Amino acid sequence: MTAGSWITNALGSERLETASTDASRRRLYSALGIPDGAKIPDDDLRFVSNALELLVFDLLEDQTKVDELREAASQAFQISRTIPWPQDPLETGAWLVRLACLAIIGDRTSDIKRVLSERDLPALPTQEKDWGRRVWASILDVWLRLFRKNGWEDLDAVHARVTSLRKDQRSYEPSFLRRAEGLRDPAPAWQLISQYHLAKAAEVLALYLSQGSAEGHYDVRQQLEAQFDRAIASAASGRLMEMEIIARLLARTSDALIENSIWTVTRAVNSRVTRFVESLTSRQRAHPIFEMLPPQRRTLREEGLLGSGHRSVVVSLPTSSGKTFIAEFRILQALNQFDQEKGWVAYLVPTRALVNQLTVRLRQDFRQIGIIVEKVSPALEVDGLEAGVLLDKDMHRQFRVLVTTPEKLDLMLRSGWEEKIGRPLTLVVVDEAHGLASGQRGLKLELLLATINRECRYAQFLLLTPFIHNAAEIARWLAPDSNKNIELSLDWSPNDRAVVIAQPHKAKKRGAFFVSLKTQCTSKSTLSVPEVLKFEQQRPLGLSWSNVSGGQGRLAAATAELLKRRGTVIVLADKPQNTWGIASIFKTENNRRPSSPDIELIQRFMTEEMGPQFPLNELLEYGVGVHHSGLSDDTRALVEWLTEQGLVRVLIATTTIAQGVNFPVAGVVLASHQYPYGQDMPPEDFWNIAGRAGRVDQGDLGVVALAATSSEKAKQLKAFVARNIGALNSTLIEMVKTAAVQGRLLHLETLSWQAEWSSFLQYLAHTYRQIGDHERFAAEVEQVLRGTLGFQELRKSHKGWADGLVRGVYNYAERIKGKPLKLVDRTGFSWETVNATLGRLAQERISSKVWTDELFGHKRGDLQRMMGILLSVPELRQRLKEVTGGPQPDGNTLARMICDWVAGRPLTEMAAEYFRRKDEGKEDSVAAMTRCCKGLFGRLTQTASWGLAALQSLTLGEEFDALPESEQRTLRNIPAKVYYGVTSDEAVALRLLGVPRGAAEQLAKRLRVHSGEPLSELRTRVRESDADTWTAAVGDAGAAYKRVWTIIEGES
Amino acid sequence: MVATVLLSEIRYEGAHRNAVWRGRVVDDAENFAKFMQGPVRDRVDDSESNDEFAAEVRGLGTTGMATEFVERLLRAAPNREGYEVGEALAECVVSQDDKREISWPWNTVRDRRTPRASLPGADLVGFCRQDKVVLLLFGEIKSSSDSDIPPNVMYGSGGMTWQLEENATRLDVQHTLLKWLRSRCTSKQHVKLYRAAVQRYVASQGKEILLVGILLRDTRPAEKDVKNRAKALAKKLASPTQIEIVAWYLPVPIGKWASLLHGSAP
Repeated sequence: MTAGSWITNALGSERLETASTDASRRRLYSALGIPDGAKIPDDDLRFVSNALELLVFDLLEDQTKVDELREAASQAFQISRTIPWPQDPLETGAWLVRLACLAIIGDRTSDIKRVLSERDLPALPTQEKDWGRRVWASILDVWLRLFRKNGWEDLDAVHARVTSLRKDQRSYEPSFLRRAEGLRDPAPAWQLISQYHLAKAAEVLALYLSQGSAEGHYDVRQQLEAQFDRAIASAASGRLMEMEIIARLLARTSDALIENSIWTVTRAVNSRVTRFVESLTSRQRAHPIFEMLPPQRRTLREEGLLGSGHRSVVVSLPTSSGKTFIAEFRILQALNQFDQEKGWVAYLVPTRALVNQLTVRLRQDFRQIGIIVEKVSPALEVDGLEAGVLLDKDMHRQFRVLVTTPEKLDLMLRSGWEEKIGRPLTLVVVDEAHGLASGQRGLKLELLLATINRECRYAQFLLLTPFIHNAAEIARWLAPDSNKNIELSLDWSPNDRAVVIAQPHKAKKRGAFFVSLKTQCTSKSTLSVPEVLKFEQQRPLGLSWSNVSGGQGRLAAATAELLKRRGTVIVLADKPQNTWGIASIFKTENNRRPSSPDIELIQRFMTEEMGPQFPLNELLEYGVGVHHSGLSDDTRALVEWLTEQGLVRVLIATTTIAQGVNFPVAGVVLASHQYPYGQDMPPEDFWNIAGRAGRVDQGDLGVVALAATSSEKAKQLKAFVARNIGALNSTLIEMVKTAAVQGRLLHLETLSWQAEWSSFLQYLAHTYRQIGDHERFAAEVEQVLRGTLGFQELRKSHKGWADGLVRGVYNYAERIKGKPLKLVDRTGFSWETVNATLGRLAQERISSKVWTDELFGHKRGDLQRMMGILLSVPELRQRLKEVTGGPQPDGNTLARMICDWVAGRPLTEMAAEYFRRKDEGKEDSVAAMTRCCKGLFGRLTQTASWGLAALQSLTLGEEFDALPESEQRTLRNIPAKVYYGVTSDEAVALRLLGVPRGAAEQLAKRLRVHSGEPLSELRTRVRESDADTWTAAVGDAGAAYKRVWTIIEGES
Repeated sequence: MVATVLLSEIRYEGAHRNAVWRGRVVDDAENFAKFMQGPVRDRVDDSESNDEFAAEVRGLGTTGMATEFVERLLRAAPNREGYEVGEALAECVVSQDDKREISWPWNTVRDRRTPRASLPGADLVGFCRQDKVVLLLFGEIKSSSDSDIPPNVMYGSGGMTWQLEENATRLDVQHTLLKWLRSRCTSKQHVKLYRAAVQRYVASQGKEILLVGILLRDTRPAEKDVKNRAKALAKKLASPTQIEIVAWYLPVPIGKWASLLHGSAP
């Protein structure tokens, strides 16, 4: 640590602090467009950064103090970067090389890449006649390119530049040296020798970074060492002090570049990893990856994840550290380990949006090396087509990575899918694993992992989380004897961030105001300055003092408008209905943007999907997007894509976006820090979304602003930001505590109506069934419970409750003894629910005969009765009630909605019919549409398809397994039709492939999709179909649908 | 027999603010010769011959660049010994002080390889320890047979006082020098001295250093050689910078020092 080092002691903490603060200030002011950022002279900053650089040189060759070196270099870089560049190109080049060396040694690789990419490299005189200047310019140029590594272009340029030096030497060098001969001065000769060695070193390094070897060597360190030693010795012989220093610095920097190289990190792991790296660095790739980010390097190599045999690993790294990339390497390792068995990997993510995003990402990355990535929808039952994918025996189509949600995998495994797939589950990757602590979903995930741990012989675990305090404990839980916890000692981020509170201030002119920002000191080493920053611009967006002084949303809009010149900004609102109001504030003439073909196609699609009046269409013309649960899934995915592409400059989203989006933006403004029901966003969610502020590829600084219309609010927000992330605790602990207080611990069945307890009881029922013997289960109760994270904690913290729970489980086992528990696994309901539902089905005389396509047609009465039954299922009823919004169960409305949805009725019509309130006129179509999408996508499709699949299991029972495969498939597709909103099996196939609902039926006909066609082949056909085919199928909007499909599926 | 100490007599001395000056006269030509052949010759180190660059030129072959042109220049370059003698003598006489300990983190002036002429840096770079305080020492050496008093090497652009002032005020040059100096400190003892001296340097914003000017003369002693220059410097460079200008009046003409080193009679 440099804190307390001899040089920082000499500088004095005050001087260091003053310099660091001024460096932060300069960056903040410049990022925000506020003038006069420098409060202390450049020379003072220069002196401090030079002193820190002396510490770097002091540690440069000391292999035992690598961390101290890193920190000193990083600190020196952070201050140096804010000092103005020299004027002369050669001086600028040398300055940037020095700056880059500090950055790279200091693990600030992303920062320096940005610094070097944001502006053009200095116009170095690489073609000058003076050979001395020409060589030096070339050396600076090649090293700057090596540091920037802007694709193959930069690495190729290094080679070309060095080759051209060799070619031109004979033409220019003699005359250059002749002058020195006249002066009898040997220094220029030594200078050239030294520089030629640096050129050669750059060439070797460029080769190594691009292909993992140079001149037949797979470890180039010795080659480089020899070149640098000679460069240093020649500089010393020529008494060229500056040359010698730069050669020493470059030597150490080259070590760091090699350590960061993707080739070094992944060397000699296995052939699959090597092929993967070849594909990542390939010339065909739009953005080849030559180096790892520091957290990736540390995790994979220094912490040994790549060579690790640990069965349970928790990687706890800050947001935007590239955790997916880390997971990809672990996946390859697991696949290699169980290659013989054709093992597969489950990649679990919390939301439907992330299932799609991750599938696209993994598919793109793994395509080149022939690893098939599939997703299964979050609809709980495995539909006929998914079954086809899962059971495919064809070597070339067989999936090896499956992306889905924990809930889906849970039901799959409990229904025996691992056995049906016939290949072992070898690794479970849990993304956003801090979700373990979040209520019912967290408990479900915990129990799923416990089940996998117990039943899947080869399963290993990789849990990815932002920083949590008890990662080691979590890792130990899943494999007490083979676990590892990897976290960074320092809080790394790809770029710096500032967390600020934005407040409005009345200005002199009538109605005028300006916005001020106050930086907050946080636990995450964000940038801060003591003073309040004031934007000069008054009345952004034409708003007035009275507008912003009382409106959080308007103040947030004003702040976002001020921040957005630096790049895309997300504004967070608490509720969907509030997003529209904020979004419309941005509709000013200044914000109007020229259209683009993609925007036009997307607008065309949205007109089809959400109706011509839907305001998002117009908002896109101003570069404004909206994102919340009141949009269709496809619309949300498109808005995300537009934001990622920079076509949307301001995105107004609800706070729930924190849980499901992983693209970076320049800034985030919180109009609200609360979730829709008024609860504060937990600190981990806040830091997760804050972590999105700042991009690896652009924008120096990520700004996270919290709008405060009053001082009171500012105080609240200050306290909100200061909260710390706590330990990750199992939901089970709180559940048991409440049950114990209520005296229900010995009667667990009485708790089954609660979602969390239903999950827990299902876990018991499943394990009971697996053990298959009452006495054995009774003997193993404690062991079964110990499989959960919560019970382990409970035993330590509340022994009495833990004992109570054990007794409760004994009692429960007595209750479920001899019961057909398979139905619990098949339905995802507790035994109590299964039992009650069976009774109701009998009462309503619903039998296996109801399962025909007529269900959505003239047999709607059956559907209505079934919806009535589902409305009494504790696991479903809340969500179903929320669809209709009324307090009374309404099976009829639900059935009608489902039929319309399946029949392909447009959303606009459904919104008008089912979701417009009596007191609302036609002009309130947005509110109705918001409720419609929330109800359909957020509730109905998933819940109703799950419920129907469960009723299928309850009515068909063992009959199902005896049916021919094609009939099984048709039956399984009935709930899938509800999920996807289409009538035919062929359209279900296209929906599964991401084709929008509005095009699926017609396109299926046009493409003559046939039942049983393998999905991978169908995907190829869809990809290869041209816009004309789509137009022929669906009319004018064909091209728009096609484009939307390519965007959503990442096929573009 | 070689002499380890150069016998001298202080002919004049004075102080003004933070500057001191002194004139030392060496009368004993024999002692001077022995001193030259002892500690001074050790520091010059003439063990390497003119083809010291052969290895470097061979190494250059690995870069794929042609070697013949640079080789030609290196062969044609002059023997450096001329100015190295003056540097070595200065290092030796500066070290010769009972009240303080002066250290140079290299064995010979050639190991030091300090830059000269148009390149930045001081002629003398080292550490001075006195009463537990370690300071960086930056120095300039001038040799002059000029009969003018003071000799012209003392003033004007490129003169000693100008150079000392540059040494003291050019923070960028000092910064380069300090980075370079660190790599020369390989022993634990030198690293310790380096850190102690740099700490003072940094804490004082680059001010607390010792500036030493050494004027080597083969003329008659005269206080005016150094006095006014030292006073002028003291006006420009305030405390805690320490300034010290010492003129040495030596008994052998400057032109004969190189041959004296190798044992010729004075």
